[in-house]
Amino acid sequence: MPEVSDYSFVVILILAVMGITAVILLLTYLIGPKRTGAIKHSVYESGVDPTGDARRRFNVRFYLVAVLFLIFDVEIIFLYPWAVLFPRLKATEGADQQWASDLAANGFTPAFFIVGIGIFFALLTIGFIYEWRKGVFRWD
Amino acid sequence: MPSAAFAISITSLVPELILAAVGCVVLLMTQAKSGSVRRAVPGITLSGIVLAILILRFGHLLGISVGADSINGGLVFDGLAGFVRVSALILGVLIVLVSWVQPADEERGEFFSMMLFSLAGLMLVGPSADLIVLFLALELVSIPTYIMVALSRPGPRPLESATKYFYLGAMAAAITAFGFSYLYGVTGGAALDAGAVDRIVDALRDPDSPAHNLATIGLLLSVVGLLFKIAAVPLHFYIADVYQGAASPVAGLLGFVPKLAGIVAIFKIISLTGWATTEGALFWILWIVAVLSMTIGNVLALRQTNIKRMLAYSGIAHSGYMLVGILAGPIVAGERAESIMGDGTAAVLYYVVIYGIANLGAFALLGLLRVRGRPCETLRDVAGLLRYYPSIALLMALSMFTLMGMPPTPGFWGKLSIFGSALAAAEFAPALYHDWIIALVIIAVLNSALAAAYYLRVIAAVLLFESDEPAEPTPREAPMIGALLCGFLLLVFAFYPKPLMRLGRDASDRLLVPPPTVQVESTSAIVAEATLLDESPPF
Repeated sequence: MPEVSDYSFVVILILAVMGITAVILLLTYLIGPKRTGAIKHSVYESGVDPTGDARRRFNVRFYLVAVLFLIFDVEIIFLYPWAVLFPRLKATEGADQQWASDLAANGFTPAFFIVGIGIFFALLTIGFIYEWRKGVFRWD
Repeated sequence: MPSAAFAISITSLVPELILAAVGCVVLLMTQAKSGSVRRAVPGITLSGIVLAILILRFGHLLGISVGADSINGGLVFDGLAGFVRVSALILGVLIVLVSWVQPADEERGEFFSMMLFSLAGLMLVGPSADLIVLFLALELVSIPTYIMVALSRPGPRPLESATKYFYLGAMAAAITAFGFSYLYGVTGGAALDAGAVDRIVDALRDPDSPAHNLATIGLLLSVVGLLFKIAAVPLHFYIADVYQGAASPVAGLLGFVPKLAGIVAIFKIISLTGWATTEGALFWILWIVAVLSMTIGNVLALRQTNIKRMLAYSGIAHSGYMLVGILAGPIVAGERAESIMGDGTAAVLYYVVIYGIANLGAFALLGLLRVRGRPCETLRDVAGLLRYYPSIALLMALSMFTLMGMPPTPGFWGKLSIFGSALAAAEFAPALYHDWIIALVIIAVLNSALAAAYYLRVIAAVLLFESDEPAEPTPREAPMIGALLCGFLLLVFAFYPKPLMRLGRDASDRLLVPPPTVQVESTSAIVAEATLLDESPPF
C-alpha cells in the first residue's frame, strides 16, 4: 500500500474525471444509434428551431452593461464574506468570542470593519454617480 | 487599548486618503455643467497634493502622526516609506504642472483623478510590509497609468499604446503574483518581516531542502515580473510604443511613477534574502538583466531620430544602471555601508529621483513645443531653439546633460555613487563574483559613454543647428513653470546633493533591519483564521 499524501486525492480526482469522461464517450459511441440526416445535423437550441448563426454582431452598448455587472459582482464578492463574518464579532462565548477579542486587541474592532465597509461603499457610490452622470444608463 | 492601533492606522494614511478623496472629487467635477468648474480641475488636483505635502511635513503639529513606526495591517512607516512619500508628492506637483493643459477639456477630470490614484498607490508601495498590500499598491500604481495613456491625447495612437501597455502589464502582474504565491508558500505568511527573512535565508542556505527551489523560483519570478514596471530587458517591449503614443507629460510620468514603485518593490523582495545579491541565482539574473538592459537600450536609442522613442529606449538603459546598484546592495563586507558610495540601494533611490526629474523636464519641454500646431517629437523639430527661445533650449540641454551623467549635474553624482557602490561590493565578494562585478561596472561605464552619443545629438540640434521653421512654445504658463521647476531642482541637486542622498541613506536603513514579526500582523492572517483553515503551514 503506497503512502497517501494530502495531494493524492487531487490526482485521484483528476484520474476519475478523465476515466468517467472516457467511459461515457466510449459507451455513447458503441451503443448509440447511428442515424444521420438534415435534421440530425441542424443546431440544437433547447428544442426551438434555430433562427440563424450565433456568431453575429452585438450592440456595443452591451459592453457597458457587462462592465457595470462586473462592478456589482465584485461588490457582492466582497460583501458576502463581510456579512457572514460580521455577526461573529459580536459573539459572547466560545471560540468565536476568543477570535473577536483577539482581533479587537489588535485594533480590528467592529468599528474598524464598519468604517472599512463604509469607505468601500462610498467609493462604489462615487463610481456609480460618475457612471450615471456620464449617461451610461441611458440606452438611446 | 483596543482601538489605539486602528486610530493610528487611519491617521498615518491621511496623505494618501487626501489624494484619494481629491481624486473622487475631481472625477465628479468633470461632469459639472459649467465650464469654469471643469477648468478648476488641475488647480484642485495641485492643491490636494500640496495639502498632502503639508500634512506629511507639519501634520504632527495638528496631532496627526503620519510617521508611526509600526502599525497593523501590513504597513510600516520608516525611512523608505518617508522617501517614497516625499518624492512621490514633490514629483506629483511637477507632473500636475507639466500636464496642466494636457487632455481635452471634458476628459481632464478623469485624467487628473487617475493621476492622483496612481500617486496614492506609489505612496502606499513605500510603507507596504505585506505581500498582499504590496501587490495591491503596485496595481494601484499601474492600472490608472494605462487609462492615462489612453486619455492623454485624441486619436487612435494613444489607444494602441494603452492596449499594449495594459496587456503586457497584466501579464507581468500575473508573473509577480505567481512569484509572491511561492514566497507565501515558503514563509507561511504574507508579512515581509524578520520571520519571513529568516525562513527565506534558511531555505536558500540549504540546497537539499525542497524549500530551496521554491524560494529561488519565488524570488526570481517576483523580481522578473517587477522588471516590467522599470522596463528592464525581457519586459521592455512596450516602452517605445507607449512613450510615443502617449502625450509627452504622461511619458514623463511613466519615467518616474512606475519606475520608483518597481524599484522599491524589488528592494522589498530582495531584502527578504538578507541582500544575498552577490552570489547564487539572484546574482546571475540581476547581472544578465542589467547588462542586456544597458546595452540593448542604448543601441536601440542610438538609432532613433524621434526624441520620445529615444528617451524611451534610454529609459531601459537607465533601468540597467539602477540594477547595478541593486546588485551592489546596502551591505559591504557584512557591514552597513559607511557612505552612499558603498550603499547601492541609497544610490539607486537617489538616481531614480534624479532620472525622474530630468526625464520629466525633457518631456515637459517636448510637450510644450509645437511645430505647425503638432507636438514636437523629432530631432528636426527641436533644431535651432537657442536663437529663438534660449531658456527652453538651455533647459533641454540641462535635462540631457543630467540624463547623460555629465560631471557637475546630479546625474553624474547618481552614476558615480551607483558604480562606486558596485566596486565596493566587488571588493568583498567571493573571488569568482568579484571579477564579474568588475566586468559589470566596466560594461556600465562603456554604456554611459555610448549613451552620450545620442544625448549629445539632441543637445547639438537644440544649441548648434539652425532651422528656418523653429518650434513655438504654447502660450500657457503652468507647463513652463513645471519645466522651470524641474530645471531648478536639477541645479539644486547638482550643487547640493546631500539632503536627497541623506534621505536615501535613511531609506536604505530599513532594508537591512526588517520589521519585527507581530502576532496578528496582516489581514491574510485574519482571513486564514476566520475561515478556519487547516492549522498546518501551507508548506
